[in-house]
Amino acid sequence: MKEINENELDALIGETLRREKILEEVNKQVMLTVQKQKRSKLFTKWAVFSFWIATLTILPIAGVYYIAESGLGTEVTLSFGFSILIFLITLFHQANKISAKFFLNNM
Amino acid sequence: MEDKDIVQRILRHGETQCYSLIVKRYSGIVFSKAICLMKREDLAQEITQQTFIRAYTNLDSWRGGSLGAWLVSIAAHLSLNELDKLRRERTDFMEESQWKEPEQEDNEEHETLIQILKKSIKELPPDDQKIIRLHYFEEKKTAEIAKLTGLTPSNVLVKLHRIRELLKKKIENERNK
Repeated sequence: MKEINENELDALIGETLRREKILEEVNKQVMLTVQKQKRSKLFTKWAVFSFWIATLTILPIAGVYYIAESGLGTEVTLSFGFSILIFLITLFHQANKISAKFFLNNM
Repeated sequence: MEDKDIVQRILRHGETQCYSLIVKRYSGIVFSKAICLMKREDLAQEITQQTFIRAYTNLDSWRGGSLGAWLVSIAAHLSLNELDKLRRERTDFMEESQWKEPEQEDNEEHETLIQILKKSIKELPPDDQKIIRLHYFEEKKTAEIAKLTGLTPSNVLVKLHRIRELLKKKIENERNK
């Protein structure tokens, strides 16, 4: 390595400080992009989660309604309705657990 | 905090803000690699940003070796791709033989000096850091620096001289190691 003179040292110090600013800007931009990516990932997860919860809720209720309408009798409707109720309670309980965990990890 | 712990916190607990520590820790060497290859500050900045974003997206594929080396390899890969693209664009206007390969060795030496200086500046007392920032980065005149720091102009000059001598000495010491 060759000896550095005064002018080179001045230029190097200036460049080092300028670079520090560039790297601060890089850090800022990277973190903005990372946060944006995280939000978009979170939104997609929530959209998928909500879709499945809605589907799993509406379909059995529609089934109970269909059975009630088809005139299979009150007993059949009630027993089917009861099992669907149990299913929905379990579903919401699990959904609540999952969403709580999800919030803790992502918020 | 060690790199491995930071990565675990990001992957397991979604603590994205920890990623800033990784960026701060390695942006210097990643930028150095990018500028060695790209030769342009704007392109090197772009490559550095892309490197960290790509690394974040593929963080789970990091095998646990040296994180710095992994990031530098991503930066090199992105830089070479970009250079290839630029080269292809260039050959539309000139012959392939006219393309000059970058002077790798000079650049690496320059980058080493910058890394040494960066480290040395960080080790300076805060007041001295402020003085050189005002002088070299904000390009303030001695009288203005004196006003901002509460020193006399002659004191500022003396301090600047001492800081430069100290930095020069540190460079020499690092070079001799």
